Amino acid sequence: MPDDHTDPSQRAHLDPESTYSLIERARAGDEQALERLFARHLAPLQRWASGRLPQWARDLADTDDLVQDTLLKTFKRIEGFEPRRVGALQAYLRTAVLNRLRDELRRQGRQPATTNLDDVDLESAESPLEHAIGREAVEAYEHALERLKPEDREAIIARVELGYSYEELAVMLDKPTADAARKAAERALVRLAEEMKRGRE
Amino acid sequence: MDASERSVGDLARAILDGAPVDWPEVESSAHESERPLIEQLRTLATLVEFHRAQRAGAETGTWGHLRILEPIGRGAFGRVYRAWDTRLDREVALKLLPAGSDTGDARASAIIHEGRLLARVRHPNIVTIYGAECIGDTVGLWMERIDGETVEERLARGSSLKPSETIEIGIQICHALSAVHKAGLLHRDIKAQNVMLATDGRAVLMDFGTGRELGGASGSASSLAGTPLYLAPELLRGVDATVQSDIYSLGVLLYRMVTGTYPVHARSLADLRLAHERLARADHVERRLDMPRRLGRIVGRTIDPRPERRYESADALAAALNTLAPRAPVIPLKYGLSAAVLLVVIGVALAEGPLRRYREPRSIEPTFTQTLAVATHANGPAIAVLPLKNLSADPGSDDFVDGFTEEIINSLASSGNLQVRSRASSFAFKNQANDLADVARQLNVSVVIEGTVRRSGQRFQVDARLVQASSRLTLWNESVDADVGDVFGVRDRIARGIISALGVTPAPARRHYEANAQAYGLYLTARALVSRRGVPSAQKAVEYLQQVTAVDPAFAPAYAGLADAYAYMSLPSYQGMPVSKAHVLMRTAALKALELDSDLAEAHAAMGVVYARDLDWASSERHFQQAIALNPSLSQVYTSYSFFTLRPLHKFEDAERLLNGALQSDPLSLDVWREIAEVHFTVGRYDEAIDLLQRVRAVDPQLVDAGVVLARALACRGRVEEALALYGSLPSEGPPHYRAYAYIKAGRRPDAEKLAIENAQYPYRAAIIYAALGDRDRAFEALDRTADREPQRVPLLLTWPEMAPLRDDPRFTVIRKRFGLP
Repeated sequence: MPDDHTDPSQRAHLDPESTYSLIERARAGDEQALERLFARHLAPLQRWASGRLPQWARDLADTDDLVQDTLLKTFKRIEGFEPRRVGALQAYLRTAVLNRLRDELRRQGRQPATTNLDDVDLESAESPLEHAIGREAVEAYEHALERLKPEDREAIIARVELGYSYEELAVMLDKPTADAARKAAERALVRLAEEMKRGRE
Repeated sequence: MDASERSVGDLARAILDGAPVDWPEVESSAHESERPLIEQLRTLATLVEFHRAQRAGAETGTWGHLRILEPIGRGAFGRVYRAWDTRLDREVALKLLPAGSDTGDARASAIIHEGRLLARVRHPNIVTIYGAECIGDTVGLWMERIDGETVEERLARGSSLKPSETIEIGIQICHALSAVHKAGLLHRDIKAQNVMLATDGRAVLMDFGTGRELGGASGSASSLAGTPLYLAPELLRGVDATVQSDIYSLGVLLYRMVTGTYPVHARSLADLRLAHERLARADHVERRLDMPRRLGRIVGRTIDPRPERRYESADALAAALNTLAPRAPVIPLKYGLSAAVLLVVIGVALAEGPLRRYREPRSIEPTFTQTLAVATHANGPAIAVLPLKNLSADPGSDDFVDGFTEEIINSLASSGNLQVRSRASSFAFKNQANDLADVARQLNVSVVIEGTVRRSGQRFQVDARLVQASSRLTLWNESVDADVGDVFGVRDRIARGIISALGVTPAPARRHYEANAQAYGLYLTARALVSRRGVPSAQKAVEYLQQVTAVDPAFAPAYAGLADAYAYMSLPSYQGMPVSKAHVLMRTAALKALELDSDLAEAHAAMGVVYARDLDWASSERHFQQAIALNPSLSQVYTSYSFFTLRPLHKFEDAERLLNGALQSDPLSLDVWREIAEVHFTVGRYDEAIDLLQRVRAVDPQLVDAGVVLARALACRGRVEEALALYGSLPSEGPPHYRAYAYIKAGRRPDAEKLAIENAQYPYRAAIIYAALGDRDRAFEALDRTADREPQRVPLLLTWPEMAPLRDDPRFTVIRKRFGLP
């Protein structure tokens, strides 16, 4: 069923069973709702996570399993999660996965113990994202993201990292239209850049 | 305000949509205050693209009949993937462009149109387009996959291109462009980012200004996508692109490959137009002494502001470049800049290493090898200390600030495993508004130190920072306010900070002197004067340094400075002081410096000169080698070693090897280049000497010495008219004895004989003139008198080509023996 407090025409193409109501039902103990939530979030986060682990760590631990495991654990605690918006769940899950990845890296050490140091391809010690923009920039980005207001952070995660359309974003951010969601995402991106700039100063 | 906010908003939208953003253009037209924010937005754009690419790779494992394997890069207008063509079973590069935004349809059809046109151009130096298609909301262009890096990436690595490579790449891209033009197309976007240096040796032209066709009205900013610095000036005035505007861009590419910078530089499109209108252009091609000189002229014509003056076709430009191409294959050299000179100039392949062997290969003494190992210790990071800016109100404080910069250079060079670019090279950029990345490229370093000094009375304030040149990222900074008397403490603190920021293991710091503030100021001023060379400045320096030692008799660097000053005052061509007198003063000063501080490189170098003049060649070499070990970045040590010791000993190949090493830390030092030229001259490689000296003089016409040696080389080569004309242009027509030699070569014996009589009381001059006249008895008589009165000048005198007529005489061997020479 479409959500009752927004313009249905903007959401016509979305899953009529909104994430929001799924969360509500899951919190109330609806196993089926929980499974659907799980299915909906697993694949995007698995793709996302593969960019955050260095090659050697991906070889040691199957990222997909890692994400799946994290989501299972997180959803088990879903009754304690009070979503202000649908987008908040996305950000919440991302944080859980990111923390899990970090733990995993710490546990295994920065370098694989089984490899000789002179065999290590230095580039493989970086995650693909670090390789793309540099480790420092990744750290600056994460710090800036933490300092953003929740709504801005959610907009960035949903649009930039997980690639949701503006229509989907509108649902997540509780915006009346896709265009409003687009504007919110644009403002969030500029604020993020400003935070990153501040971090540099 | 409103406009700039709107533009930041537009940028954010473009980034989130994955729409193309022309970052160089955005950055160059942005206001200074906006740049830090734009820099972050650019990082975010990369991040957005990264995630998009990841999703694309995962979501659409296939695109049409192509299987996407992995992202391999980002072009200006889209993402590029390695992909597998399932129909033809081959690997391809696939460029995907989102076509979903407002202009999507127009862009999609333009790209496909462009792709179809380009598919008609088949050339090994042009990337081969296999196909173009629009599927859903994505346009794809698939093409030959090329392994390698772009010219821009190569330059960004801080690796300058060798002359032979530059010319070769230029020729290949000419061929490519010619093929494009013959197909009735224009490229419109030739730039370093669009030339791929393939691992198979090809230079390949990429990215045909894809998406450029849809620009609006010509002349507007939007139709000037690409890097504006490559655009021909007439395009900025709204004239349509032509073959000549493509050739102009190719010229800018050549210019950039040679110099690392652009002929016309500007921060915004408006400034760029203005710079073109004023014909304000830099000419740095001459700076690269290892480039054939004619290359400068060819590049100049290629980027002529008037289209009709440029080469008429890419083929014509290729033909011009072809005349410069080395005739023999080039073996990669260890010392990039250095020995490549020989290659291009005379077109010989090197047998090994940077040094062309003179005659038979001969063994090199172990001590020398050790020295070289120290001199070219290439493991540590390479850094340059740019001249600190003087912000003091008092203009006289300039020398203090320069001296302080030099102190930091020396301190860093001797206190860690760093390759520190020498004073001479770093100071080439004094008072110039240079782009940091360009400076770094020219000095072949990745990090630089820059900063300011403000001196007011007895206080001074230093702001120094360590900056990564490519990113302009500050790695470390320090601000110190101190008494002038604590200047060494400040120096050490800065050096320590830099060394630890670079993660280098520090060596013990240079000795700490408690200098009297005024004395120290004088010392720094004197040091700057000494480095200017020449008698008047050396005399002034001596005056200052004597005041310093009067105030602070324990201050070793002042004595070493004195020794240097006397050395320059006694160089024959300066004729500032009798050699013998200078020698005594120099010895006293050098010994004193060494006694006070046995770890001072300058003191050992001074001792090297002293011992050479004592004819104690072994001790001389030992001290020079020690000086190099203590501070490998002092290029004057290398030139002194070559000049005072190695050349008299006929160790020419050692000298050249050493000087090539010196060019590593001092790539722009004219003194080093001049010394190399003199070595060439001495061993009879006149053409090389002439070419080098002409270029040295083109950079600094005031170098009288270089003029004299050039005239001598011309005379020896038989180009006597040019030699005499050059002497005529020198102060007092140049040294009479060398001029006499030219007269004889020109068949004007009476003129030479007249000079012989006029200069009879100068035995040094007489020896040369009579040797040239073939009057052996008078020549040896004069040589004997020289040996009595100015013995220090004899060892080098015996190496001059003008003295060659005497060499087979037994008396020549006798005199060599007398000076302990082999």
